[in-house]
Amino acid sequence: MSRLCTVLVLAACLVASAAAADFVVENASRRINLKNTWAKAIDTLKAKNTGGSDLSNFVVCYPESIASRIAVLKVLIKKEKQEVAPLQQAPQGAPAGVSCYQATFKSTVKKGATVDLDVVATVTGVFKPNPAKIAQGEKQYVEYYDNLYLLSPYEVTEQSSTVLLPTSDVRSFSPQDGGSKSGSKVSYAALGKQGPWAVQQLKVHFHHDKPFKRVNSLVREIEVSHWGNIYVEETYEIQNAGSQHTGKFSRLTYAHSPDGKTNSFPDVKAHLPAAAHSLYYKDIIGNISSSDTTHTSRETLIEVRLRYPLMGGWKTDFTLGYSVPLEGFLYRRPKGKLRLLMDLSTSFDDVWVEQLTTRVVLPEGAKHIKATLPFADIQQSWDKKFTYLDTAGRPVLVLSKSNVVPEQNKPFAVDYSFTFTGMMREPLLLISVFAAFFAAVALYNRLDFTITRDEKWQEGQAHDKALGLIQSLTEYWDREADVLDRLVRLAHSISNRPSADAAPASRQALEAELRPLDEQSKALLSQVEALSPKLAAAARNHGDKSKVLLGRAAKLLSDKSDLIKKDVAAHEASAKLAGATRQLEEAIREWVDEGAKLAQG
Amino acid sequence: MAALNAWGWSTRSLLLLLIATMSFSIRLFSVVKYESVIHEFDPYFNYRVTQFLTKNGFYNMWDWFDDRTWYPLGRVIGGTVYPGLIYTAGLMYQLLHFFNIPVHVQEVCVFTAPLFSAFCSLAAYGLVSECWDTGAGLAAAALIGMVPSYISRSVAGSYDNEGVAIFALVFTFYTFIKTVNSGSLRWGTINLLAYFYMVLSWGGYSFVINLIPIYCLACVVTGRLTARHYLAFAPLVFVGTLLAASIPVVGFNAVMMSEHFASFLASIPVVGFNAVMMSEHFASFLVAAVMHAALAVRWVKALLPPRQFEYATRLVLLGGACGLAGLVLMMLGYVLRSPTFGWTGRSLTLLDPTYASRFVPIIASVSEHQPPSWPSYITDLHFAALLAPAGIMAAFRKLDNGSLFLVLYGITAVYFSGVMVRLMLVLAPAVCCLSGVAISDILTTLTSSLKAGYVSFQKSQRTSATGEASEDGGASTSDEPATPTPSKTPSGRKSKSGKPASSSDDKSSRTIYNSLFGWLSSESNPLPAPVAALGLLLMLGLMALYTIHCVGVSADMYSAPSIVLQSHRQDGSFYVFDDFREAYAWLRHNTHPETKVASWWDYGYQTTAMANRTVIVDNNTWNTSHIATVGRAMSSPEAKAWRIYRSLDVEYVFVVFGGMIGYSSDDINKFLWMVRIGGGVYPEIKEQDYIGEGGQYRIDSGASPTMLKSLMYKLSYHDFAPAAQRQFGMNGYDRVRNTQIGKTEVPLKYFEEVFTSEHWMMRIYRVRDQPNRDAAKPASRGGAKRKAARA
Repeated sequence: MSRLCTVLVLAACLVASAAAADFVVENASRRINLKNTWAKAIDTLKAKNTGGSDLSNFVVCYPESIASRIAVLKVLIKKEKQEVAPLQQAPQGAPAGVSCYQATFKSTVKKGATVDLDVVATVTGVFKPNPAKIAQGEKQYVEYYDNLYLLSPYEVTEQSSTVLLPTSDVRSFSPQDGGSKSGSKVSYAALGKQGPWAVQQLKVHFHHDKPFKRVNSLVREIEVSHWGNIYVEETYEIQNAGSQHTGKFSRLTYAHSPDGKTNSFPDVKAHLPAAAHSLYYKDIIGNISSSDTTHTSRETLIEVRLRYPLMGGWKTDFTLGYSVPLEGFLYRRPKGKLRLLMDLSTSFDDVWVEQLTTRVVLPEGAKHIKATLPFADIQQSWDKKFTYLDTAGRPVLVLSKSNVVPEQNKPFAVDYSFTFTGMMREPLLLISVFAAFFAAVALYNRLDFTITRDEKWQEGQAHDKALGLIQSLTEYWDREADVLDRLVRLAHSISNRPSADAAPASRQALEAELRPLDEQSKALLSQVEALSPKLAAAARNHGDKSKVLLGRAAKLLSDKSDLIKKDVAAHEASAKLAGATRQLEEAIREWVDEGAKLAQG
Repeated sequence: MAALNAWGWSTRSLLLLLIATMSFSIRLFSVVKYESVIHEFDPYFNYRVTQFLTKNGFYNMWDWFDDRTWYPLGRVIGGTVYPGLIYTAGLMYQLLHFFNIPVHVQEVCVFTAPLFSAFCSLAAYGLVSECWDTGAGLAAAALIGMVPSYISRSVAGSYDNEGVAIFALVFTFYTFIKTVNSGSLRWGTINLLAYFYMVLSWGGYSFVINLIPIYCLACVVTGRLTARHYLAFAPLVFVGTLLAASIPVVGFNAVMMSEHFASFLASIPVVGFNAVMMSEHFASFLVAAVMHAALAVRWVKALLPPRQFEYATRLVLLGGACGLAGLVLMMLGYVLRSPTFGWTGRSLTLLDPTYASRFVPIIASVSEHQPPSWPSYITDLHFAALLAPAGIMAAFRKLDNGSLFLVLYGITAVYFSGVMVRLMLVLAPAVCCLSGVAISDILTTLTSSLKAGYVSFQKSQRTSATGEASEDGGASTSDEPATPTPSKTPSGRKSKSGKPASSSDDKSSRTIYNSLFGWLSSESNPLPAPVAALGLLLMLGLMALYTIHCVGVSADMYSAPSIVLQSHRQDGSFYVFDDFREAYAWLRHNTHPETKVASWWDYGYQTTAMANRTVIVDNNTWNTSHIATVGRAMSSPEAKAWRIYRSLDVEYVFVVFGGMIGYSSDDINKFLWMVRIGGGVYPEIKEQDYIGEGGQYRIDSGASPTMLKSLMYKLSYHDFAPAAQRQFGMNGYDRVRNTQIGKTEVPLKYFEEVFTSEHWMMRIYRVRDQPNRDAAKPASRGGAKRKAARA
């Protein structure tokens, strides 16, 4: 820095001659305000047109070190902003390392007239920590360099410079001559008359008691949905740009000592629109559980507490998101056009943004997009974004700008046209996809994709199934056989008159047992019928045979009881009926075997 | 056949839809009460791998060598991870992004487990309706949807293997039984794929591949073996094993006898599991052989006349005995030759399930590897634990292919759940299925009793009392609702089987018997209507209690993500302790990306995932000696610990400390495990040295000097005493241990506090390049310097 200034001085000595001598600054009063975490230099000038004609251009200059960090440069005449543009080439005679801007007045300055100008420059990141590293609890000292005089291509008749500091703790300031320090102010009251390009380095080394909140990068994404929502997501990387913290970080000191928190900040505050809702605050590992929101009728104040307090040099990142309704942000314009009005930058207090990217995502199908921007140095580019079933992608207008201070959080406008059909595009897409799906399924169910119909195979399948059913039928047949057996045994067991009298009742009871079996087997039979009539017939035939057997058993029983009733001795009666009994038993066995065979197929 | 009528079908679909929705939404308490975030420890690893997968693609993940962990060793992720869960989430992510739905991968991961729980309840419905009937299936689906044991592993955010694996388990069983019942090759193929997915997802696949052979063996023994069993089993064993072997983490372990299985395997769960499972697929091959033999015998028997068959049997038996003897001899030799005698240890584990947890401290140090306590059965299963035996009884009464499977599944799962708490997860589906059977049976009995009572009441109104016995019987048989069975194989049961009521000689004894025990027998004579009504009321009450219990447990016990803590404020709002993420975020943003960070292994996965820094050890505890080194450093005095950490290139060390807010699972409470694990490898660390007066582990004035000198003590209590003084008004008061710490002055010479989170839960220290000269007392300075110089 100091080397640069020597170069400047030398250059000034060498070339200190010809300049655009149209104006003479009669009085220049410089106030350099360093109270904030960025510098604001206000030069109040009184300039007289000494040239031969009316003039409408005025040149203001800064050392390159400052000029490269200027966020806002305003030239005001009676609080009215004049147009300012950087000069590609410094005016003739300018020393090296000087950047100049040209203000174009709205009304010309007449020959010989004077004009009162305010030149306001907001400059970020120009405080150089010295010492560069401090421990917890130590004070942060920074240096500020500037030109003592008004750096100007014009002759300055009279000037003064004042540096306003945040604290009265000033380690040093140079030059010492002519300067005086009172409280938190260093002033050079009478600097006298200076020719053009007067150069002398001003250096102030002082205690800055505010933490430097620098947002290294901010990506804002504004997504417009015509279904009634504007969705804003801001991703920050924030850093404490003050003196580096070194050594131990003691939580004990931080929490309990009065100066443990110096040069650190735990939170940042933002003023969101009053209509903001659905807020979230997170980073890549989840919610950040500490934040506070207050809704008022004018704004939504959100106090964002970072994951951890930022000591000097520490950084962190987070994402803040919220939604606002369309009302108040999206306006109808003539000829079916729409205008979106949103703020360009962050709504956080006292931070400055190194690199701002604002992405405006317009609905799919938006056309004729045109942005109206508040600053000339915003770069525009285009991108495409695919979300939520997009097919062609949404047009994205990407605005990027570096070095942004809060006062530059100005609204910008995007005009575009968008039709109702574009809005219905995705619902219709969904409807048609589902309709197509259902139609396809319906169609599929009605189609037969069989190439050849293999009758034999199908018959075999049906046959197998029917066999399976018959297998379960055999269960019933077995039970029927059981009942028949019991009937035979009953006949055998009749030995006296009372048992002979009871025989018909017992028979009825046994036959009653068969009834439900019959019904169930009938149900099964009807299923077999559907599969294989041939097998069903065989099975039915088989079932009918049991009826015959039942009749035979009943006859046996009645024969036996008749004999007993005729007072024939039991063993004689049995002997008499032995043949019939054996035949019947054999018939039952045969019948069972037959059933088993039937089930085997 | 019982064609499903439209009403039944739609009611069932609607119920299933509701059950699935409930299964999903009961797991969302964690998101509602906390936030949509990955939980605990292991899920962070899975999440990290999923992120890698979605960013770098399938093949890169497969080949991924992770140098962020196990410094300086690293870890081959692709070969040591069960990728099922990760692929599933990755696939869902791809699918969503294919349709341009911009869901963050974290959200996909968070909701994977609840989604698969819904699938799991559907699979359980399938399994039980295959094994029993659809009513029981519905009951089982509802039970499994909200069983707390399963919830504990599958709440939203619990992105762990079990989340999908339990679904895979139940689905594999379902498809297996479906194949057995239908004999369809299509289902067999689906079964194969389901098994493949199961192997992809979880080390617990060994349970599947051991249970199914057991089942088949039981079928062979009980003579139920059919060609359909073969059709279901053979592809599963042979092709399934080939598929399993193609997954790197399983590899040839699938076919080897797995002598050294445990050492290959990556994570503790797997080690624990395999300590229990003797050999993975070996058993199933054995059973496959048995099955072949049984089928061959049957075939030969059909071919040969009986006489010759007998001779042949004798011949084969003789040959088989000789062969077996030879095999046994060879095996014995192999086992004796093996230097590790791994066999004996593993056999021991099989007989004594607590073996691993008692003799391997690194397994024992994890709470979920302890055997469960009885209350945990009630907490995790509630009345399902009581109903499951009833389900087993019911299944035995009507033993067939399906119910036999349910019984076997239930019994084996009970055994394994006794080994460690986390295997309760395998038990839960079994218990739910059996309880579903029980509930369905009980409700059927009760409602049909009520109905029968109503019908007989109507009849008695109409015809004044005629032949009550036959009337009664008629009512019970004809009015008993035929249990709806879906169209199935012809041999499937049609009506409740069992013998018809024997019309025996004395009716009176039968009626007495029926009135007392009739409801026990399968033909379900009706209970008296008031009893049935009371029983129904009780059952409904129990089910309501179960639901309330499950919702309560899900909301209060299992939803905490454990990286965020909450406490209630006076006004009912919450106060959030977010210290872990605070510290991890600090590490991520304010240290050099190549920094090595040391901590106890519990926090390894979280550090790599959230802080993106290289760690020395992590939750994949495959290298015990490396963990022991960290344990040794933590339990050593400062200077020695400093040398250990310097030798590992560690720049930051952090400890978790709960003394300020009363967070009890902090490192001081885990410290004895560090000592034990460290001492297991480095004998100079002895547990007794850290035990204070009275044989107790303590940190107050009665603490042992070694304890007070240990790095863990120092890092935890550095600067703490004055802070406690301000906080609690008592110098060095520890809120967890509820006592004053033994040494309040804790200066540090080799380490420097660089960050402590807001509530002191995470304390990060930098390992100094050089010892700090100012902090040491003049007397000890020389010594320490000499020591440092020696290093």
